[in-house]
Amino acid sequence: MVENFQASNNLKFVTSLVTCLRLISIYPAKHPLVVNSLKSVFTCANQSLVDKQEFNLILSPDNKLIIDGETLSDKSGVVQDFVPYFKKIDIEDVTFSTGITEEEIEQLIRTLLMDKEVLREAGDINKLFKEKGITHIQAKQFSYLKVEKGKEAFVTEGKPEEFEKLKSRLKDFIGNKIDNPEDITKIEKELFTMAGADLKQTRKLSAQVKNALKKFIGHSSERDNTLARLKEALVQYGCPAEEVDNLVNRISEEISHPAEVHHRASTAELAQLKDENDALKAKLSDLESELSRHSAAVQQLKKENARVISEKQRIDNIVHNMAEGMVVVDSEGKIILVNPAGEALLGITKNDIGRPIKEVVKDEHLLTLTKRISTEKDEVVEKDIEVISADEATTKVLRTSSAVVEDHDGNTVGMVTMLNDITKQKEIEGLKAQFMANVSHELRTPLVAIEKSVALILSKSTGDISPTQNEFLSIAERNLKRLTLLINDLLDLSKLEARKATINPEETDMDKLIADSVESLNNWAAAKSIKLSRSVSPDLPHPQVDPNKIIQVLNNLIGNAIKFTPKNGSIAVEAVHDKQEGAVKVTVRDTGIGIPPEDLGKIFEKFYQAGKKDSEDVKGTGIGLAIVREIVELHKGKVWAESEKGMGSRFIFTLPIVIISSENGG
Amino acid sequence: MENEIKVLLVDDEEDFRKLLAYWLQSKGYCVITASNGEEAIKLAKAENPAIIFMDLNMPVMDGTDALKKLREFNKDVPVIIISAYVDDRRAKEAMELGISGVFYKGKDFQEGLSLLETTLRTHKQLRK
Repeated sequence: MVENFQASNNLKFVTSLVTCLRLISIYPAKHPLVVNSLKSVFTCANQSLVDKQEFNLILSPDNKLIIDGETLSDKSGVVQDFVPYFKKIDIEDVTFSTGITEEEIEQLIRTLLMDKEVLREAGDINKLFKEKGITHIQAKQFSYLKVEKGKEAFVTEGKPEEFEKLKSRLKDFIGNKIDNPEDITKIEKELFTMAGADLKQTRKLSAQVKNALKKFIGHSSERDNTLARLKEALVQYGCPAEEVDNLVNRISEEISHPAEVHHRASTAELAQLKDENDALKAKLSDLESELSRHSAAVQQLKKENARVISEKQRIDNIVHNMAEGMVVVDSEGKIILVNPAGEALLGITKNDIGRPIKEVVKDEHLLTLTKRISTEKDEVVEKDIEVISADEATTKVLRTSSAVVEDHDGNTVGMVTMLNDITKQKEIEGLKAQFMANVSHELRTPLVAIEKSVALILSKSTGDISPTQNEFLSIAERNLKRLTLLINDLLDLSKLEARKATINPEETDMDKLIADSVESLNNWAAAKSIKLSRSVSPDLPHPQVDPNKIIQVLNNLIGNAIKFTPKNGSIAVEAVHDKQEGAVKVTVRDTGIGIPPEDLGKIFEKFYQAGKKDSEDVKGTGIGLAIVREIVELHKGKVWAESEKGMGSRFIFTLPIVIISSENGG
Repeated sequence: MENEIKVLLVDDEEDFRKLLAYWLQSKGYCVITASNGEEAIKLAKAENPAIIFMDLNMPVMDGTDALKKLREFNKDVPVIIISAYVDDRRAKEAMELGISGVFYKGKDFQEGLSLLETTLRTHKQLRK
């Protein structure tokens, strides 16, 4: 292949070297091909040494081969084939000198072919050369220039300003502007210190410091003395003597033969700079990736922030435009937030935010907005309150629903209250109740007249009647009773629903009340052969209730039980003190047909009749239980039914022993 | 003689008035009737009834006013209020003007009769 090249001797030399390397690695030592190729290398080398003592082969940091200053063009890729051999043992350059033999070249090639590990272990390549009898070839390794990873930080880098100052003084010195020996000594001292720090920390000199040293020493009048002082200073600084020797020698050499070594020096510097550059690049790329990570995170945060802001605006808009008034107070009763509807309803303004609601809202009813702050958690307190409007001419009715606001740890931090102006609604309710009362009265008056007339005829006080007349008049009377009952119940319910009915609580003996109710219904029960019993625990407290209303509850429940219990059944009324609830608990238990589970939740609704089947008794109006519920709830009690198939039913209601408030009236 | 017992029945509803009057007469009472408070006061003065049944809601003069007037000259005669409502607030208010009971129109006349008899009996005992 060699003959194919029309290249310089230098290229020929390398090409033959590469060929030789390849052949030796394949063929036995004395193979003609090997011998020939070695000869070729030898010839080329001698050719190059014709007019000089030595020539060198340099591997530049950018992987170019330079022979005696001439960069080899690498059209055939030969250089790239050669580079790995040099790299393997970190060879920077190889110098061939006059007197070189074929054997030495063969040994060099064999050395280059050795295992990387073996070479590394051997250490100094020149020592190895000596061992192998190579005396006319000298190699220079990067090894001592190699920077350990993580130690890229140069001393000069850390204090660029100081170095810049030193450099400018150095310039002055070289420009002969400084001749005071003391000043010169000072520059020298600083320079040496910097070099020492560099060498000690990174085991090499940065190019800048090295250059500065060269300039300084090159310019100093007694070069050898200065070099000796440098050596001394570096050793004193704690740098290994051998390294210092090498370094100082090289500096001295480079100063003495600037032209000759220029290339080598700059190559070495290039290599050094390349290392620095690589390190910096790596650092830069690290920083870049970190930066991109950070900026991604920042972008994410920005997006999140924008989302939160838009969400907040959305909620603010909702709160702002709500028809309902909303006011939020903190745990001390200070207003945190109020929307325009709330401002209008409470007669306050945005300026009142931050002030205690007690100071802002005059109406004493509204003070309950803060009183409730200690109520149970997870409970929405609904309350209707009357307030005097801002112009003090009319009153408004506000329905408030308040809930306690908790933080993550479950601490009460305030209360949110929704305000609804239900003045109109209340008016309508009032009108409705009035209408119902009127209608009921107008319905009842003629009904009573008919009923009494029929009763009079049936009582035979107006004269005898025939059995047939009696039968039909009885039908008329029964249905009149039913109609009357319906109208009475409707009236009661409409009053209760309109909250027109007030309760007049008084300490009530439940035992007596139950006895009264049982007694009044006993005849009816006896007619059906139903056993009606009662049991009241002796320690039963007397609750604060309206006896006229509670007897209605009892009559309704016991009456219902009689209605739906077949003949020979039994009904038990039982009252106990539920200490946990602080209430009286009354149970009406029957042996009736029971209530299907799907009906249990509905039976307290108006006009709902679970037992619609054929009942012999007067049919109910479907309102009784609705009335029961209204009355019990008016007393802040609870009412419910339990039933299992074929086991009869239990109707249970509770009445708090002390009623907390009766403010709902009105 | 029990037949002599004079009952004044005051109600603006003619049908009801007639029915109750008939019922009481059939039980042996002497019943005189009035359709408003004014008439009732006149009759109370003129006839001196043993007991008065009085409706509250009436034209010309309502029961409450009539009762007040009545008490100006007769503090003794027992009065039973007739009410259409079981839970009548006005009936309760009337309690303070000295009445002996409330009879609800929807109830059996028999109940009204018992109330009348009880009232008369208590009244008699009190006077003794």
